[in-house]
Amino acid sequence: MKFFRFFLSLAITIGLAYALNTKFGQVPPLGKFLNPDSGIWANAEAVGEHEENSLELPMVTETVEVTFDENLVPHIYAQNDYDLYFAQGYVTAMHRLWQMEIQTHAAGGRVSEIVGPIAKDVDRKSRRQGMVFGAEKAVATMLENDESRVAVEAYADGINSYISSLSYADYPVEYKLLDYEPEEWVPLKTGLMLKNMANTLNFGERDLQNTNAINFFGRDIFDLLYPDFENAEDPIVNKPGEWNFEAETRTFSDSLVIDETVNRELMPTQDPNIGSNNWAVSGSRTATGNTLLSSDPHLGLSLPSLWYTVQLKAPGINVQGATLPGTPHVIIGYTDSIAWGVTNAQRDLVDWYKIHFRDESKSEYWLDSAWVKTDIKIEEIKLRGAESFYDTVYYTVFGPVMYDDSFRPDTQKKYYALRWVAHDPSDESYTFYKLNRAKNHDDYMAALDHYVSPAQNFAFASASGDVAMRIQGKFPNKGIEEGKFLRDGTHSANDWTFIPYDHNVMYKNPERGFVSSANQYPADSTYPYYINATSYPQYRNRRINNVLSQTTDATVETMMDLQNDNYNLKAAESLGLFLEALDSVEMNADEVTAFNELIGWDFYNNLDSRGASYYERWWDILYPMIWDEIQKSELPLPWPTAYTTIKLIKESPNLSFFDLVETTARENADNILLSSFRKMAKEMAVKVEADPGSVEWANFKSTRIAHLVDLPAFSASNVPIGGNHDIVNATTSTHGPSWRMVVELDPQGPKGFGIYPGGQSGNPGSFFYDNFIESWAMGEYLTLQLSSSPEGITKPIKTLTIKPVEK
Amino acid sequence: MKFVIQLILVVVLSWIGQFIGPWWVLFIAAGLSSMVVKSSGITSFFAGFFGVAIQWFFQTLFIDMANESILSTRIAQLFSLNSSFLLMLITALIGGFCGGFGALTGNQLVRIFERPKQKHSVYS
Repeated sequence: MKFFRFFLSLAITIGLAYALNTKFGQVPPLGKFLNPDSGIWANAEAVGEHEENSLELPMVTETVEVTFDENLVPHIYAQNDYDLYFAQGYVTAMHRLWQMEIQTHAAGGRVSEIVGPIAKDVDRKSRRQGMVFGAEKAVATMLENDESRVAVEAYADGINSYISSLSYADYPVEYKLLDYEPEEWVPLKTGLMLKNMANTLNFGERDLQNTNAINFFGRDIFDLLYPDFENAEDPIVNKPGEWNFEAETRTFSDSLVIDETVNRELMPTQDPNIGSNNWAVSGSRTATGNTLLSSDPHLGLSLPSLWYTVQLKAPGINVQGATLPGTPHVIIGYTDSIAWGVTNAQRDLVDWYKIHFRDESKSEYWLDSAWVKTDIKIEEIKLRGAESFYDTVYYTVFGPVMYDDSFRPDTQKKYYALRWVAHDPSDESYTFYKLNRAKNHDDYMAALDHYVSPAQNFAFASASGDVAMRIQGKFPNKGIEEGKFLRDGTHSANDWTFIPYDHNVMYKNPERGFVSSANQYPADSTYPYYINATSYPQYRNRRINNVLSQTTDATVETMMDLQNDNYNLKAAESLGLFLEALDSVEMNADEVTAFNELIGWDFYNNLDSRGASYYERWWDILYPMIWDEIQKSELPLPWPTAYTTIKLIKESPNLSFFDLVETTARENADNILLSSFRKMAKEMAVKVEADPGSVEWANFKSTRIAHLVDLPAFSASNVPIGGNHDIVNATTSTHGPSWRMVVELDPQGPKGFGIYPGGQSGNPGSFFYDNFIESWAMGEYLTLQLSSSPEGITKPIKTLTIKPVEK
Repeated sequence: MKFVIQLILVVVLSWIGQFIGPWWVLFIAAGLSSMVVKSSGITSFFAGFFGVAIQWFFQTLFIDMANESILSTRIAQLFSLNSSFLLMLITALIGGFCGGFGALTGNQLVRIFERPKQKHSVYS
């Protein structure tokens, strides 16, 4: 009896211990997770308490001093490159370890290892897209160059040194929640992080959709809906007749359009809300005579934030700015002599080639009149809690066959190989290594000569008075319309050749006294190469250039105002046209209200603008109503841009697309405008009835900064901020200025200001997790510090000293 | 009295044990307390239960105050709980059950080696 009681009690106890130490479905292991010593309570940082820390580590060669300022920005002072990047890796991991790992797992197609079979399709997509293939080549190139190698290896050593110091109690909350452990960091992960950016920024394409569209609509309609050049005359670099070189010739053997119907589920195309602004203003237009530079990249808003701010100081380098956790160096920032910022260079950097395999085995394909062997790569996708999934990917001379009969198949067994610039060997990290040490325009140019992908518009300003813009990346030299559609994969001559770097679009100190870019068309029509992309934004660039060209005494404050500018040029150009359709129409009370809100609106998408909500809602109903043929099509088709849509309303109001598919009547543009207006007015009236405040723009838009695995509890909702897509303050409900920076290059010492919607810490249990969000939404900036010594940092809150082990 | 002594012992052992080892050391800590203080099964269970529950509750309370409830608010929301306080109570309750069963098991183990001197000792 005693034994029975003992064993019963023991069994219950062991059962309880086991149950509370095990993850069940979504529920974390509750005992392990909630205990106050090592569970999540250990992640609850005491507010305002900051420990001084001193470590002895065998890897560093000399003492590194890290001072954290009041914003938790680390200022790293090292005596050599290795120690500098070691410390950058170490402190970045201290604050952002989980983020670095999950982002590189996502890029490498390994999310299923953490969340199980639910992510299998996402992982297959990454593997088939050749993310690892590209990252491996990038790392190999990086390791060939001594400076890049030291940086990337030291960075990895720093991260690993931090990881090895951790016990379960120290793991970021997300590891505890999902119940797994951090793994060793390898340089490949830095390569994956760069490919992740390339995927975000340089995977914009719609070649297969275009192929359907031209075969389905015919050439005339195709050109009308999807023009290469939308004729808004405000390119990034405008110097007609001054392109003083002969374009390299280009021959290829595609018949431009292949008669093919692409009837399969395609990957989502790049989010059109991804874009950026940057500009640099010469001393001739500034109040102080110093040059000014502004940069704000618009990306998906996330917590932890994509960016992490640091200062890096060692012999030969003193730089401050935004870094990408997972990669060494500062990506957007300034030194005491220069500043630089980037926007995405829109260009078609993806082509699809139709592959003709010899047989079902896919081991050979037809190329240049012979059968050529494919490279076969078997991808093991480990699934948590299940058997591994094995995916076979076939590589051709063009790249991996992404779409085949096992991945998003169609009924006719068609095979499309992917050619993507991010698969080419490259070492972007060397560009940033050099930019971080640049002193003048020559250094900037030399740094950019190493830059391949993702292609960017690099704005530049120097304390010595230069401003410049260079569109840098490895750009395929394409014949007219080459690569706009599905291509013929049986001729190697159809593979890419490239525009020489010195033929890329660039200029220095233009007469107008400023340079700027907002993802628009890169060059005037006399640029001697063919250029195309899925679309070029048409509004932010014109607003920025309009403001800058009227500015003669620019200051840091006016630059900040412009970054936060909510003027809706698209509305200013289209609302009058839309309202004309409502002339002499009878309206009900709701419609009169809507009409009056629109008439009285000043075209600013400010926090409390009501007119903005009415306009944007109207547009959001109108646009898919016009293109219902595309929305309802079974075949994937591209969408015309907002600019072209508005142009067609104005110039071709009787175009057949204005006719609704679902009605028997024949509608024109006015009919569609009216019916979308009525629908909008009715919807808005319901909202006003429920809560009058809900139609104020910020509430209506409801900007959300989502946690990386979208846990609402770790996200920020309904952030009070104006702006929208096509507005300089490009904050939509999900995307926006992920980093805003303004720098005045005073020869006496640069003045830098920056902010991003998040906080330096990735820990949801830290005060520093989201402490910048409110200021960011209000258009405020942090003062960035670039002191040459730790003593010069104002308001330090703690220090970290890393010393070599004494022998 | 035995209850109070054992309870204090559980608080101390559990606190020190988890400080040094993994969280489940508390089962052993609670079990040990029953071997030091010999009392009835029920007394042991409740001494273990309240010992760990109190220790966990106050430890989380101090952490939470210093943290100004930043994390507990988020975790509570994650589990659809209304307040941080509820999260602390659940934490304490989980610890309590672990401590209770740990102590009970320790108590039952001691019983096996105990010579039956007084027949009613079980109910004392």
